[in-house]
Amino acid sequence: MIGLIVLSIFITLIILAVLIISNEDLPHSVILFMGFGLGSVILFFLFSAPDVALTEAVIGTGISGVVFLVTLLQIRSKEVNR
Amino acid sequence: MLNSFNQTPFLHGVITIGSLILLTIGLVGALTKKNLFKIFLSLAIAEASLFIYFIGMHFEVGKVAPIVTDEVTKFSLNMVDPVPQAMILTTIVIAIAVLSLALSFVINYFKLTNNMRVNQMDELGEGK
Amino acid sequence: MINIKKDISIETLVVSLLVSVMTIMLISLFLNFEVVTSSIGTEIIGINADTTGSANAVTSVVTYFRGFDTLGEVTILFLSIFGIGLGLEGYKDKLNIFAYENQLLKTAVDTLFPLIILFGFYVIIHGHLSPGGGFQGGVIIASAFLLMFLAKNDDFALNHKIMGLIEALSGASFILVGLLGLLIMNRFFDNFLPLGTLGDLFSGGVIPLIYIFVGLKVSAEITALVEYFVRIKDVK
Repeated sequence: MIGLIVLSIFITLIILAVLIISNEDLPHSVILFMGFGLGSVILFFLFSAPDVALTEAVIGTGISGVVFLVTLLQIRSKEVNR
Repeated sequence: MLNSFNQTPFLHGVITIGSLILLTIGLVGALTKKNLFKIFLSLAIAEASLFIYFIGMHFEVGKVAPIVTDEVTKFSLNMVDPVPQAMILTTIVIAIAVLSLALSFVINYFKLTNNMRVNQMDELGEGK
Repeated sequence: MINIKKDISIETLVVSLLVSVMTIMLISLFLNFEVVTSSIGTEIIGINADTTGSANAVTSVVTYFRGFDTLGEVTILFLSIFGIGLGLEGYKDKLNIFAYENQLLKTAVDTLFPLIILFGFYVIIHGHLSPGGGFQGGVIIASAFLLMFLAKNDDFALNHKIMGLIEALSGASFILVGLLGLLIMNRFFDNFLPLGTLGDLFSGGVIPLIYIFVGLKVSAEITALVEYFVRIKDVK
């Protein structure tokens, strides 16, 4: 049971990572990155590591997301890949 | 058949392949993207993949967290190793501190030159 | 969604190919290893209940068995916040960058702010009994201050004298606890307070003391980090 859950969460994380690096809208990428952090919190909980899950939950979603978003508010650029 | 998904070697194989694919995605994003912000976001993905690999490879199916509560009343050998968890705890905090320092440099650079694309950064003399 | 029709450059393709070849070789290398059950982890679980008095093995590894690494990590955190303070131009004549007036948030934050800080202190103090500790509780307290910045845009300002005093005193006290351990028991960060029974709040010797000081220092530093990033808009 746990093997299938871990496999499905890994597939979700891989799809999320591909969407993050290929998206042209930068605030959308930051919101998807916070979802990536949530997925890794669930993985840490399934691996019997509650301390690491708590730390990644508050840092990966709260502090990291805010720092990225405020940087975007200062930059206000669109991503053009050329 | 469902029981074969619960064995430890299958789980270790899934964790190895999955986190190395995530590392690949993070590295490709950091090496080929042209927007400076996107490069830092990809580096954060690569760091998170390594945390998942480190914690996952020290996990064996059936072991519990190394904390004594009302149900698990004694420290026994059925518990996960506590040393890698302590190392990753420290590393997560250091990673976010270094990332925020790097983003403050990005903000300052943008205020000076109004440029976010790695192609056009030629203050040191190189570039097209 | 993913835009498939854009043209992909040769450089992107070559780099992706090389990195995937490296990954496939790494996968085939790592799948042949077995996880070595390290002896230090099983030894620590064996002696944890007698040597320290804490019910959380990860906490006792972070503060007692590897306390020197925590000292290094607190140093790195301090240096990076110091570097951010030098780089960004300071908070004195800058405005808050979140400029929205939200009446719902303004009403709710007066009730939520002390509750979140209380929860943060609970997580810090019970670090040796349940999952938690100094780092987690410190960042929870800093996110309470972030909520205040979001709600009360320019009416909320931090008192930097008190924050600087808390950060400096807690950092110095953390090192003082280690030096007292060196003087009394001949080892840096050794235990010189009595261990109680396992599971009590006042147990664990010097471990809750270390984590309280680390938690206060981390909360003051991450709050300063959040303020440097939020109060960044120039006065027009």
